[in-house]
Amino acid sequence: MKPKALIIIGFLAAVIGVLYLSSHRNGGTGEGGGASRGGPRATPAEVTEISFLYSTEKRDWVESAAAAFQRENPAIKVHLVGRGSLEAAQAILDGREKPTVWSPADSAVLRMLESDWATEPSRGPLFVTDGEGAPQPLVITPLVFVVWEDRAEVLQKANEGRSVSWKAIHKAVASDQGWSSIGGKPEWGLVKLGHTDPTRSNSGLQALLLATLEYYDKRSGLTVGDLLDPKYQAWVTQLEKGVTRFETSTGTFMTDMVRFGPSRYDIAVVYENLAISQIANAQGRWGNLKVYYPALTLWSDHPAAVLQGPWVTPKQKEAALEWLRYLRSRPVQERALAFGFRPADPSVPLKTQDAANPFTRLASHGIQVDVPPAAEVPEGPVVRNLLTLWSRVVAVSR
Amino acid sequence: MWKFHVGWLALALLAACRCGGPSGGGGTPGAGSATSGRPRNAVVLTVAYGSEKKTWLEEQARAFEAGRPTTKSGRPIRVDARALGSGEALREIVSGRLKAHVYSPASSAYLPLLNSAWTRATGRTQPVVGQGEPVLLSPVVIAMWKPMAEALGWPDRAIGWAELMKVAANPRGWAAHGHPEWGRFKLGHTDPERSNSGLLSVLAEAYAGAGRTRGLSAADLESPETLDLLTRMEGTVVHDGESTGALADTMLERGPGFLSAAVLYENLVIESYAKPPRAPFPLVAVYPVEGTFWSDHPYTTLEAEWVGPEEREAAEAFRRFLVSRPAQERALALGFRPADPAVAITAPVDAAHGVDPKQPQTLLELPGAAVLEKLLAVWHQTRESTGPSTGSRAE
Repeated sequence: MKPKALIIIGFLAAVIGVLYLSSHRNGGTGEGGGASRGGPRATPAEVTEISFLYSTEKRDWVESAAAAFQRENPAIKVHLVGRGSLEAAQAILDGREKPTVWSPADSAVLRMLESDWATEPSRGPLFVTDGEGAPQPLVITPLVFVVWEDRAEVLQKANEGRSVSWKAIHKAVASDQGWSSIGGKPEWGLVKLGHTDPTRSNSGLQALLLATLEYYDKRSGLTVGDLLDPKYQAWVTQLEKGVTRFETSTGTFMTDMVRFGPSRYDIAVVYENLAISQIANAQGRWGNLKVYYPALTLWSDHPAAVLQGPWVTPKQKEAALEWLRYLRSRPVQERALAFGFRPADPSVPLKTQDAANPFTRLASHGIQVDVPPAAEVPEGPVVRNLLTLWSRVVAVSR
Repeated sequence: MWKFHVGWLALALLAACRCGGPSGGGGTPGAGSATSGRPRNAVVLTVAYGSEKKTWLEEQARAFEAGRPTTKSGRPIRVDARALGSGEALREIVSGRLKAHVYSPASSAYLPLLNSAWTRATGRTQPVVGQGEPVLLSPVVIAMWKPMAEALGWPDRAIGWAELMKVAANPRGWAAHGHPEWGRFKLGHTDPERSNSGLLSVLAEAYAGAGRTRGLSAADLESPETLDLLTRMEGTVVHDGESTGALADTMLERGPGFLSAAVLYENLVIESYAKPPRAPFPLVAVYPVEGTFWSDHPYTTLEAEWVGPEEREAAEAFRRFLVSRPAQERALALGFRPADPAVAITAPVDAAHGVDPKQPQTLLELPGAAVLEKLLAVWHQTRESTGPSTGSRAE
């Protein structure tokens, strides 16, 4: 009789426990994952949630800005989604991503999505053309060469003391004797050039464009005819022989340069901000990593725009504009310097008294305030032909 | 009546247990968290990994669990870590015997091999693993007894695979280098079918035979020069140890009379300095001048039907833990090079432990699955013509 009573009591206790836990659980989820720690203040009705789809090259700056923005604006919850620019454009086009704000690495990608989106006229334009929500740069950064110092000295000597250039790299890469053919150490092996896959990553496309422009000694006006010249095609094929693997993300690629050192990459073509962010790490591993500016460069301007999609409510639009105003505010623009970016706001100086400012601190590593002139990006059909050519003569032989 | 109550009680307790996990709101550990054994509602993450990193990974798995990690739904995460040879793990996954959620072999070379074997075995077209992210690094080196390396000109002169192969093939052995007392030059590596370093050793031999450092093709493997070198080398090489760690242990135990040099990982050379000195000499790492390979320990989550969203979430949580600063610093202390580039390379990756942190300076290129599969087929062919050489262990 006694054990039976105990079991009945146990059973009742368990049932009460189940009921309590399930009601407690419902109560818990009812708070809707509110971002605010403000307890009763943060009811879902008061919080506007927006999503910010952005290119991963600026992750550190964006994450730091978002954390500060959240503290100052508890009524807006910003969901950060980092994606490669070309991948993000495709995801928006396919409807897999429906962000409130999008910020790719470059305006060229934004324009490409804009025109692809317009092929379905019923959808209406994806971006507004003026006002705060229209595409405008957040931060800017040029494309640079990053070279291990000992290798860079040999390259420069081989180029009659001039800076690192595409033609000098081509000369080094084309030889089957590798580094020893231009005065480097035999144990350095073949010359290992690195840039990302131009069909999947913007920095790879920029690298290919700059190499082509230097081959023709042009700053603008590249034509489809230029690309069809067999001599140029042979030159670019030889140049790309130096690239053993084409990574899809510039960030991963730069990290690998520091992880594996000169054993994997002697020379890399990357965004200046990524070079800045890895110089100290490289020092702790392999030694001096130096930055060289090509005679002509291209800029990544990281535009941001509020999308005009039906999924963006007026309230979200308002919150998104608040977030963009914050990113473009002077203190946040100034903070971009520490992450290796140049502020889009021209009134923010690059040279400051701050000892941590990489634009003054890393001068001995080749970082310059003044950048060589920018090349002109050719018309869409020329770019498409360049990519087709690359896929046919370079990628296909891999 | 009695049975009825017991049944209801069991059901009620089971229900309470199921509710208990998620109610924690992610912050506190679920009510069901067990102090002994596994909570019943746990998400169990099966990690099949190359045994080379056993000490580190087992330690990290325990530290990860001690932090009481949960999925977003509140289910506790537990790690079932299975140390296997990289090739062995591949075969277990493809055969369906091991339903791993994560595969972390010693080298990226195994990822295309797994994808190729998987698509062949299952008839599917989608790869089962992606590129993965490294969690640890260690270069493949030729570990030699210090005086022997010095006799060949180390550390002032760079030594390569081709040179060592010539020394190994020379019947005069060490006498040709002024040390007849050391007998023949004996090189060892693990079985290429079971272990990563063995596979990469045979690949390096093939590169030396083909006179290349990148772009090795299936045709190169069939060339008379490559076949000849592979046959000669594999006829003299000592194949020992189920794993690279076991080969290093045997080498240290049996000394220079057993092996003059072995293809190991840099971390094993470093580790040898922490072991009681049984051998007369210390080991040093030779980084072959033609280039070597990285053992880059990629961490990949499988794209298989048994990997659900919660296993994927658990896999990502464990990966983050493995690349976090404390785990990476611990890896360095054990002699690995951290995958996190922000962790500077310091002791014990230094000359005092027989290694050079500024090496390697160049690499041999890893070919795709077709060439690696062909390499193993050619290796079999050479073994059939020369017979197994593991018997040399008895020397």
